[in-house]
Amino acid sequence: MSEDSELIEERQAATDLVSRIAAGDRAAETEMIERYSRGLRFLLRRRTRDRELAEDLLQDTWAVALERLRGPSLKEPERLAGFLSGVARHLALNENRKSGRQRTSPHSDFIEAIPDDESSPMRQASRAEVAGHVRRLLAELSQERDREILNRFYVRELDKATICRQLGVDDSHFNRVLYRARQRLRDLVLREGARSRLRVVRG
Amino acid sequence: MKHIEKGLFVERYLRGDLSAEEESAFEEVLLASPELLDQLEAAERLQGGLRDLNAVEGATAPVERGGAVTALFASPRFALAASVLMAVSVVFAASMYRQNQLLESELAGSASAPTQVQALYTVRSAPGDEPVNIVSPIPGGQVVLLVDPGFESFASYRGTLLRLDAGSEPEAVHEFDGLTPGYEDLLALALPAHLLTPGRYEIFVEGLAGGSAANPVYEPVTRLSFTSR
Repeated sequence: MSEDSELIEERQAATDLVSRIAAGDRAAETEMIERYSRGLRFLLRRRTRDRELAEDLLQDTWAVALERLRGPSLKEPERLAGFLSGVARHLALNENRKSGRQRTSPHSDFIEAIPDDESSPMRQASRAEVAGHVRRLLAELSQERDREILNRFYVRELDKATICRQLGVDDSHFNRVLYRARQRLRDLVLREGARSRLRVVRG
Repeated sequence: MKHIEKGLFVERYLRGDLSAEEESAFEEVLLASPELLDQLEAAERLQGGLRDLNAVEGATAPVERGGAVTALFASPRFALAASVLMAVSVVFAASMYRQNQLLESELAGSASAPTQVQALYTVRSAPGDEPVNIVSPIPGGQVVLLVDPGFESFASYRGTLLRLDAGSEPEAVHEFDGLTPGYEDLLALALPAHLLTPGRYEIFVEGLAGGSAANPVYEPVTRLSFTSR
């Protein structure tokens, strides 16, 4: 799917969800929660650095969002994702300012719709497994220079321009190494996850 | 946001290098993009894995190899992908197949072997791992070796299966050409089972890097040693 068609599809889906939710369609609420929970969870986890807190804030985000969406419609329903991410950011920011956390009232009517965090294979893999895959990935790199790109960027946290200058590589090569490393790690983790499930079935 | 821009934004976002406006726009996009979330999660875990390795092993140290066989490809040119998966037959499947083979021969009244159906399991090999051993397949059918092409990607691959006998030059047993990744992005090297008699072997895989149809240019991809027992 092209980038433009992805954007068009998202905006159409968002507009449809907003209008259906405003009309009282509970199935649409579930669809929305399933569609955006993974992204919101990632966003909240990154901002809070606390997995449990991120889960709490995710529930709060949905509580606030649903209350708003069940009322007067959004001015820009096609930008539902922007509205939701804004709510999540606002709650995370407020959380950092609070001395003591005050929970919002639990909304039992939507909590069950929130997808489990363990649905992502990347999340399921343990640190030891990931380290093993990264070691293999590094061993696959035929150029020491490419291993250095990953080390200097991810571990030593040098900026891209500095790394390119130090190692004599251009932008496109740098970007490609990072992109391929991410893809390769993902491939290794997903393959191991599939194999584990197969062993469970056979076992 | 175009694909290349998304890719560039992933690391900048994770490092907090985006402006407030850029971050807001990026988060709006990522909420509805499973592909982008995949990239972000992979980048996070890649960073975590590198840091863990760096703390324990010194991740940037060159991969050390030793031994007479590996010295052959110790040069950078032959510093190859270390992770290779192979498909092998399990002992019980071989036994079951033998029984099936005898039964089918009796029923068919024919001396020809039926198509071999073998249960597969994969064995991973990397520097420092245990030597790879496979169970010698039953003659009369085909065996498939699944090989991981590793980090680099090429339009197609070719391979050579070499038999290593002590005291003699490696002997090419079978050649493969026009390979492309299939199941789980692996290369499937199919060959007659009778070629894998007990002994030591090496698979050498190259990727098509360019050139013309008349003069293709290949680059080394991986070299794996294993023993058929």
